[in-house]
Amino acid sequence: MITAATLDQFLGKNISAICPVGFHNANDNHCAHFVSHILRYKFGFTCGGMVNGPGEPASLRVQELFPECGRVGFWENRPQDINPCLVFITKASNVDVFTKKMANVPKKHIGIFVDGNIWHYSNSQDKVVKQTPAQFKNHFAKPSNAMFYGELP
Amino acid sequence: MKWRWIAITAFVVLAACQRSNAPAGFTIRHKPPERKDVIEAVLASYAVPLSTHSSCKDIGTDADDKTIGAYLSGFLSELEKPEDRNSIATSIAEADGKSVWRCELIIRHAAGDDEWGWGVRFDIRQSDGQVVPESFVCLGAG
Repeated sequence: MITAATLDQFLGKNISAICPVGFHNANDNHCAHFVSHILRYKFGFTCGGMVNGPGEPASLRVQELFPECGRVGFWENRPQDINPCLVFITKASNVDVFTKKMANVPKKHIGIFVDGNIWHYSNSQDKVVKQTPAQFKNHFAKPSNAMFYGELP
Repeated sequence: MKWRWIAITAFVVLAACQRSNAPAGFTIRHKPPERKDVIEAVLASYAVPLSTHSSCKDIGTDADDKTIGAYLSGFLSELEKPEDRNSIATSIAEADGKSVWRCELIIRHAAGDDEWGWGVRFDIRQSDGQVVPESFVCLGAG
């Protein structure tokens, strides 16, 4: 089970310190990449498909993690027992919680929620950061800031 | 006997039709390819189906995107604001024992935390300069 203490160890780290495979380009989006290395997810396309390198590859795409979650739903409806969990932010119309599908729109983001905080990879700062859900809600402007929970796959 | 020949003929015609629906490989104008050749090859390969490779599954910005052209159009349409940082990155490298040029085209965008790169990788045969439609892989993260 992932803990806040474990996630705190990654605060301030660049993806180059997290991905052993070598997919480190600062111009790429590493939000799902960070989450997947920490939680060891290998669903769909991985960093091993982007570059040839040693080490264990991990998933890269938010829309490929969302369908792998157990229960999903709007953040405000999150059952209290779902902690830790994944947290997603995008435009509400890009998500179908009933079929567990998310479109591959550019404005979407993912983090790991544990005990009241969210750890995620800031692509503008190129490092792992920690925020409250209220702060995370400002990651994108409306209407792309609808938040969803996803039970850990 | 007559029906057997009709059935065989129908099968052959159907097979020929299906083959003609497969996108033909575009032939580049410069060998080795230049940056413009990579861009032209991708534009010419717009009809390559996303079903070509598992990396292209559900990659379109719309659920009903079915081709490389539809997929890339979705991300190109995001490059709207002149104040954002947008670019098209390309790369060309020899691969598979120098039998092909392995090419990449990535559409890049950065506007605050809205930062991404989505594109394709594909091969061009060195022998005849033809794009290999079945070599397309969809690249990108986020």
